[in-house]
Amino acid sequence: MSAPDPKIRNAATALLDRAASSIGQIILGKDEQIRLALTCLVARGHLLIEDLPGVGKTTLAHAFAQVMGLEFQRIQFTSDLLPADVLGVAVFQREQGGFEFHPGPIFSNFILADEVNRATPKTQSALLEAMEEHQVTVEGETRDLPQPFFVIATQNPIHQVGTYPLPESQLDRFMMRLHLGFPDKAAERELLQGDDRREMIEHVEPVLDAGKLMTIQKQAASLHAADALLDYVQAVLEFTRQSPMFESGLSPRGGLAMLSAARALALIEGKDFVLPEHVKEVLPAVVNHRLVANSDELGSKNLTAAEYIAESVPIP
Amino acid sequence: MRFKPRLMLPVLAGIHFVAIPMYPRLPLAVLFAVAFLTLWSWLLFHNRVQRPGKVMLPLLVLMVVGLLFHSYGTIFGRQAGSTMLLLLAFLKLFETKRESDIITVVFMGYFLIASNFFFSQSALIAIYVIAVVIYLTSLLIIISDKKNSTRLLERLQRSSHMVVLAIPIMLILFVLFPRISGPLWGLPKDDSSATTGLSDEMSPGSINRLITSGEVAFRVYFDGEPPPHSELYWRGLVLSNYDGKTWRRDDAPVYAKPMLVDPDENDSSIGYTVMLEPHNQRWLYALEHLVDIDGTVNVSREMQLYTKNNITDVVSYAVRSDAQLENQGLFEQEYSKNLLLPSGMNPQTVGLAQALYAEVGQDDDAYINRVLKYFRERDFIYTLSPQLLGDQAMDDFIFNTQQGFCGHFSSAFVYLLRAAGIPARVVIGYQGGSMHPFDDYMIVRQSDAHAWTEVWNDYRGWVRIDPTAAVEPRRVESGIENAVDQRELLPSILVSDNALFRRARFMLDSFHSNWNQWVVGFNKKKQKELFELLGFSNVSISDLVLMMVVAMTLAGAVAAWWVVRKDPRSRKDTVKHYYDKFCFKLNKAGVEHQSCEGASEFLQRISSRFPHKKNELALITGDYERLRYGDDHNEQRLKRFIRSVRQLKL
Repeated sequence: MSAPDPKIRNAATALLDRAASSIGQIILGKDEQIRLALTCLVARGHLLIEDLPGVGKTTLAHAFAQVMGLEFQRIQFTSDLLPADVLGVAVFQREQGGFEFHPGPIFSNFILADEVNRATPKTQSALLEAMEEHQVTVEGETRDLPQPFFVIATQNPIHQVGTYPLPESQLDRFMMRLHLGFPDKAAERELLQGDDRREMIEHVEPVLDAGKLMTIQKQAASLHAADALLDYVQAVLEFTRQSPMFESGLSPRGGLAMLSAARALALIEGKDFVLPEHVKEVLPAVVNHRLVANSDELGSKNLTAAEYIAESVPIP
Repeated sequence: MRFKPRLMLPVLAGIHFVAIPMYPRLPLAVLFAVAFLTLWSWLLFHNRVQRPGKVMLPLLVLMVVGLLFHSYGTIFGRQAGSTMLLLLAFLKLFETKRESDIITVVFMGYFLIASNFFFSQSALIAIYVIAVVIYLTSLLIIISDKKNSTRLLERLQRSSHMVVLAIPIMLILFVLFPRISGPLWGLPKDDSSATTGLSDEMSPGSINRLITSGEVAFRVYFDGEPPPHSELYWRGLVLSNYDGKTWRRDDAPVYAKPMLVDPDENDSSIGYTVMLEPHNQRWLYALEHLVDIDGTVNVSREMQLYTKNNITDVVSYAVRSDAQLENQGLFEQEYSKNLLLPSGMNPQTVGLAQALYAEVGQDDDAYINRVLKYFRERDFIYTLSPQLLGDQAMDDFIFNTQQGFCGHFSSAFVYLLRAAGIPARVVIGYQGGSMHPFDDYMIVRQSDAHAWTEVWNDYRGWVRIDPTAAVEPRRVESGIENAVDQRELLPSILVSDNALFRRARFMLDSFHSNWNQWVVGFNKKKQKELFELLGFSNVSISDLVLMMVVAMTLAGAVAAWWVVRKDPRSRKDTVKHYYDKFCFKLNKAGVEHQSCEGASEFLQRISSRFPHKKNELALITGDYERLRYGDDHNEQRLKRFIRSVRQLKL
């Protein structure tokens, strides 16, 4: 891996900073979530947003797509949605005497998979496999998805009749899970006084485009991670695997996600190396949905898995 | 630094762990004091009562001293001294304000737990002592564990690890420490310690009491084949004085040599080593007739073996005995003494003796056989629980109850012989012993305790005669367990049919025996033998000290290397080392670096605490992050980092 040019990296940081503040003008008072969502995008991961209806999940996704200058597709998941509705279908063309592939909505750069838990597991897994492999196989033919490819899936956490919450094994495929939560008082007031968000989104100037984003993603992936940092990442993985608090530890994929996310965050912060603090900062978004607590012990201490890990694993 | 209240209950428990082996030795009043102090300190730790004031505490100390004087008459000596230290350890808890006070209590605990070796050196105590030392060390770990980051199990694991690391040093000291014959510190004698074994007198029933005990009296390692069971008469004491109830030793022992004569000039001696359990008396046991014994042992003219001090630890001695020899020493004084009978007592018995003696025509040998035949024919019963005898004990036994144990038969036999003018005496000791089923030594138990007699014969000297054998031959041929009907009174090890139980008991015995032989019994002689085995002869005390110093230094060097090697700090690079130094400086200034805390998180805390040093701290932190996590290896930066850490003053 060749050393990245520091000038471009600084430019990348500046661009990302601008992108974050543009989005921040639309989604008010959620700077930390925007920062993490941006991190996820730069780290080439996919994002799961879990929250109540109406807190701005869709708006966030929309704003992101707009600011990033990416082709946006929204798929509303319902219980009768079929895999073919997502992936596309091969239709027989009488004139040409053969099948022609009609790509589904997944063939775009930026997908909002809204209320993903309302679809059947079959459809869910079609989406998740496409996310993981960055390609789709329909009728025996494999087609690559466009680059960059970023999925924001939303899930309503409240139990509803006829939903299929994503199982833990599928959750692992999302690099991060975020909660938006209610805005604070000041942000809420500003929201009430301000213009319609959807209109605002349409008027936002894109800061990046697909090409620039991919360059930034490459830079992030090549950011220096020292042995001392990898020691820390491994200590975290080892800890989750040894600790009796968790049913099972983090997967290697979880470890890779943690490192990629930390790299992306370091890039956003303008650092040319990764610090343990970066790992700690992405920890809640990266590990909380991957770890299943074994008992109520964590809950009784009022700690999330990430907080517990950050408090327990010494930085080597 | 203030102590942590959460420490107090574990420390209180620690003192009790230390005290558990002492409990049985403590007088009731002291036990009450211990219970009272425990309750009081427990209430104190739960803030139910006030800390005793400046007047109260000295008063309590005075009360403790008073209590000790009341219970022991002194505050010195191993028993009173260790008890005082125990009570003071409790009192120390009341004035504990700092961590150093707790450390003092823990150190007292180390001393107290080791003081148990003054009383017993059994393997069980050793194991217990090690367990308590591990616990006490874990208390020291809590004290140093300021963050309370370890759990009990983890602490115990760590302290066990420390104890294991100390084992080489322990072994060096054990093997090389110069052994001095006799106890190093002249420990005051204790009369209170209860040990089972024969006493120096015999009255009806005194031996029966031992029969129910399965405790080991001594173990014997024979050089060759052991003699048959019926020849195993382990002589202990010779009792010549009788007052009508109790047989006692000759109270004026003449240290003249016994006169041993070898009738056939053949060497038929056997060699063996006895490992005698402590019985808190001065005599040793050996087979007839003693030819040679190692160590400083006095042999009385009656062939009793005496040591200089009471035997309070396991002792081991090698003996040669030759059963063919004859002991022909009889002094005039002795002759008359062994004819004495309490005057005017037991007229019926005396009458019987005279009648029988007349019946056999005043022939000594014939008379002896006639008396034995009398016991056999009159259906005397050998039993563990004979009826009590009246004032005229002999008359009562011979003409009325006619049931008795070895003590009854031997004393009646001697009485009858003396009444006929034949010198005779009672000998007490052990008869028999059983080979360990899967080890090569013999176990002689308290239940093998026995009494027999020796009768003077003008040609053959003192001849052993066992009247019990006349009544119950199985007693001497195959042991007590085959000779009596009341098997339930015997120790379970002898009569249990449970093979597993017996096997387990014998395995335990093997362990005890090895422990006694190699740990407790590792004396000057064994030490010398060990060095001879290694090729060093004539190792002097100064050689031992020199070797000890060299070995300890080497062990210390190895341990230091091990610790340094294991310490992650030595593997860390210079950058981490200086950052640790930086954290150490801040720690001294009152801000502790948490192990889970990143450098920039730490920076936030310290720069708000030391605003005037903000820039310096930020520079150090920035350099550290760049040097440790960054990609550039700038020597200039490293030098600046090291310099600024060194120059940092808070």
